[in-house]
Amino acid sequence: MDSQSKNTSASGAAGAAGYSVNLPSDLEYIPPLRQFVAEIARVEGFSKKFCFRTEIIVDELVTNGILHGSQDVHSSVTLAAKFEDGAMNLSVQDQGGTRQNLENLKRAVYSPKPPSNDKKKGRGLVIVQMLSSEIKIDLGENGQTQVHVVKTKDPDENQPQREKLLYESDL
Amino acid sequence: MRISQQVSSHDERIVLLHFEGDLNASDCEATSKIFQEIIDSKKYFIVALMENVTFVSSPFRGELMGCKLRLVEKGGNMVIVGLNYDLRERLIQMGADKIFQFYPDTHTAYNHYHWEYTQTAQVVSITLPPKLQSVPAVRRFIAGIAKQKGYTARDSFRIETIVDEIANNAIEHGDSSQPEISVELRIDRKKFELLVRNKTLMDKANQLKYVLEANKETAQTGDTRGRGLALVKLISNSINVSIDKSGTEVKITKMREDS
Repeated sequence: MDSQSKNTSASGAAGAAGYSVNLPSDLEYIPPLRQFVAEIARVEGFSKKFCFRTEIIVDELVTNGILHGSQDVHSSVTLAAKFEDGAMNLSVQDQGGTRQNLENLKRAVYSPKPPSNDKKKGRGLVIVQMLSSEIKIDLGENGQTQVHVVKTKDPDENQPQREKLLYESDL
Repeated sequence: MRISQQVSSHDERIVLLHFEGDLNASDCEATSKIFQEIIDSKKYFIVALMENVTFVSSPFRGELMGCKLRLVEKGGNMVIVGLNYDLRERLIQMGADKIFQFYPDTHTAYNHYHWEYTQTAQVVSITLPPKLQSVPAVRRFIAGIAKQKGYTARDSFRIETIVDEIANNAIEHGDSSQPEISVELRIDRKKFELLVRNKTLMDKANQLKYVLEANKETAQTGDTRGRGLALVKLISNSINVSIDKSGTEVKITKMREDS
């Protein structure tokens, strides 16, 4: 028990808790991965609601990374999560898809618009926008795409302002 | 119906068959001939691309099942890719998911092919802060991967136990100033390898090595702790420790029980 408390306090003193996972570009890894991130968010003191929403964000971003940002079967996707000051900084990096994929990603992030009702795809990043506080894209030198999401703690558990605005514009 | 074929640029043992339009009973004979030609050319892996398919009749489904059977007899397989949601649901309602694997894209189908037939190991690397509280999440994550990859519940539970013991040891007995520990798993159809790296004080690391090599437990009869590594040895197939200036690495191999 002594060593447990010693190690816990040591890591707490080191600052933000950072986790990273690099995994093969394979959809089968997504269910355990999203549960893992939700569980560590819970360990880091975030609410159940926050963790459930985090699970949705992770699912969407990693699915996109695998389906649109993987060039071959040897590709991988890296997820990094950092928890500090009541916020979660999440980033998902893939190896980069086609130019069209990148254009679609930019459009979805910087000018989000839900697809029409008859479309079966295209809602993932709109949902991520609704559930997060901030989202941006970075492009690496070798074509990698990195999507950063910041999600802040919502102490009163009210719906975030961004979510209301998107619904209003949709109506 | 339109059908065209090409050898996959990813692996020449795989043939991609593009289907378009309605797959009717009248198309069975022509399709059967194409399947036979592919099998005669000694290519036993077919990816049926059905993004643009609008209907699958029952006789055609039977034709696909017959082809799959012929391929399986030769040690191959046929999988279906890109079938739209409605058609897939209809096929699943008729039990087709017990015969065919459905994949959203060719990339996922290739992953399945490598997993099943080329025995390529998949690698997952995790780094985490040295917090004991994060170990349950890590052990469940890794056990979840094993389950997802078709390992039995018993294997997954044993893997979870191994991860828990080794990760807890790495944190508890590691250098308290270490910024992170790293966990890597290599999983293939037949075995599971776990590598845990951390920074350890030299006397602790040597103690660990002694316990493992001398085949002794640290616990005496009355002690409540110290049986972790003995337990890990019991449920794994091999365990190795390497120590250098950069830290300690524990490598554990566990064979899949039903392989």
